[in-house]
Amino acid sequence: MTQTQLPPDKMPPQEVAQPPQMIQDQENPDHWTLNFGPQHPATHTTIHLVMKLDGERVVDITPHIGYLHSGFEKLAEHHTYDQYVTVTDRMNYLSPMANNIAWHHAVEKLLDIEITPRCKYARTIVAELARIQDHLLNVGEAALEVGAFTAFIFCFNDREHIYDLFEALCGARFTTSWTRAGGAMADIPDGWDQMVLDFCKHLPKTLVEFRKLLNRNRIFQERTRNVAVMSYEEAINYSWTGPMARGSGVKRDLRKDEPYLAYPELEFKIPIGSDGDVFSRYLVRMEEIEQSISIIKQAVKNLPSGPINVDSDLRVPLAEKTETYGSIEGLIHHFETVMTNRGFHAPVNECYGAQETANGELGFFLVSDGTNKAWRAKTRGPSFIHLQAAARLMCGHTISEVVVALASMNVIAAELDR
Amino acid sequence: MSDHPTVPLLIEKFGQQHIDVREFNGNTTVVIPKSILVDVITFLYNDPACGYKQLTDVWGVDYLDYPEEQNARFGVLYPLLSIDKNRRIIIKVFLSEDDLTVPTLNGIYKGSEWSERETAEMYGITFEGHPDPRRILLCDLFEGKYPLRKTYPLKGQGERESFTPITTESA
Repeated sequence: MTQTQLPPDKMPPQEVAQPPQMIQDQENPDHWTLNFGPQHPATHTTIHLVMKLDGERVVDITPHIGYLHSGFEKLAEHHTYDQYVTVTDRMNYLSPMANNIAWHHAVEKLLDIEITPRCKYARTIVAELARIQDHLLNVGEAALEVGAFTAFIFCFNDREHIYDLFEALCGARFTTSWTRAGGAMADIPDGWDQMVLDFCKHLPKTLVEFRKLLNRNRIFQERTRNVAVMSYEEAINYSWTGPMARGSGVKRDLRKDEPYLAYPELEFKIPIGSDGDVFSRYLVRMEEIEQSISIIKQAVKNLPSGPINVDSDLRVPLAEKTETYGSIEGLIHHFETVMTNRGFHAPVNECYGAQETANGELGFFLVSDGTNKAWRAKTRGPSFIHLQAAARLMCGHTISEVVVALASMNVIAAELDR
Repeated sequence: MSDHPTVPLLIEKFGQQHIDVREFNGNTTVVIPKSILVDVITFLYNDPACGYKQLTDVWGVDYLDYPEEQNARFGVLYPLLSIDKNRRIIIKVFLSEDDLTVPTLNGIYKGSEWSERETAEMYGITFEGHPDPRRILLCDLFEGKYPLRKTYPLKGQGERESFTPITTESA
């Protein structure tokens, strides 16, 4: 069979393989625009950066976010206070426990509930484990972005131990949903405190090896020093909090400044950086891990006995299981608490509760209309606030430094987009 | 009435009739008229006795059918933080439906940029003078729709179903 050649104007349009999309700037032919993301290994999640490049140097950068927007805040208006904790797991998924605790901190502030001493200490231990979990991934990521894969694997190994601890605590490794208003889903199981102490004994060994690999490593220092520098005034003006701000020398930590949980009774230090660059943030995070280990050891040693939930007369926590199965009042209380059209009711008012999580200040602004659901639950997520400064931080750097800067910001898209 | 140290300074500077203070569980909220918003924020930023150098976030609230009577349908809240003095104060303005504009604070706090963009697209509030008033979290299908308003249904208005995939030609 012979193939007939069509005349050129009748030919179907040919599929031409598109080269990677780089668009030349019409006014300045040296400037090219490159799309970085939304699917790119260095963004770790879905962030889209549109960079205008002069050679390898970034002239202008525009972040596009919202690829992971899932309407969490709208959902919060249709869930009861205890139901919404399952959604907070999905926000900063590096440390879901910290989100749970921060959410119920805000809810308890709205309801004006004072939790029991045992619950305070238990939540402190768990919050610090979550901080270690988050920081370990982040310092590992800082190493990974400059090509040090070994350090990253070291960190992941220890994060597995923390997941094991959380699994023993609440049955879930990742989507924990451990806290409840006025307490927790379950008390600490027998032997869990010993597991935590074993972990605290084991972790410093990894950190020593980690430091040996990175702290005086010339490649690591040259890739991270004087990269993405933020000054003290700018860090405040850009609303930065947490290790990002402390890396620039801002003395602010909610654990000391607005004490909550068991922190006023424990001894620890707040590391402050001076240079405001990626290396400084890395050092702050490493030192915070050390401090967290010390906090956990103290808290386990002083863990009070007694109930984990507040007195059930408040009608906020579930009734004891023996009460539920043993008495009609306990059974009624159980159903009154779990049924979505009942539950506990918050006063008609609005309040803001924030905690220091690994990433910075994680706060929830709650407006209550007097029912069992929030009228408005705004998340003040640190990732969203930090990434605003992307253009300020990354302009003038090369693409490889943008990757390092992005890792140091620890932007989690699920919390960024909510 | 309120023992927050900044409140007397505000009353002295702007007059009792413009300052409405609300206290609840450790939060101090000061409701002010929209016309003096920038003056109040500039005062709080510059005055050495206040020193509110950081804006934590910007929050919008829709008070449609809220059980307690409010000044107007929408509220915009600006939580401010003084790091030196370790103090917080929340400044609140009310916006009625016929005038949903409020001046931007981006000239004072750079950190207000994205929070204002988010509030703008979620509630349809215009921040006048904003340097980059594009939408931030939502796609173009939400043109003229404001998801966090109480009139918007939880399941959406069919945006998910009418989403068109982006091709090389349309991008």
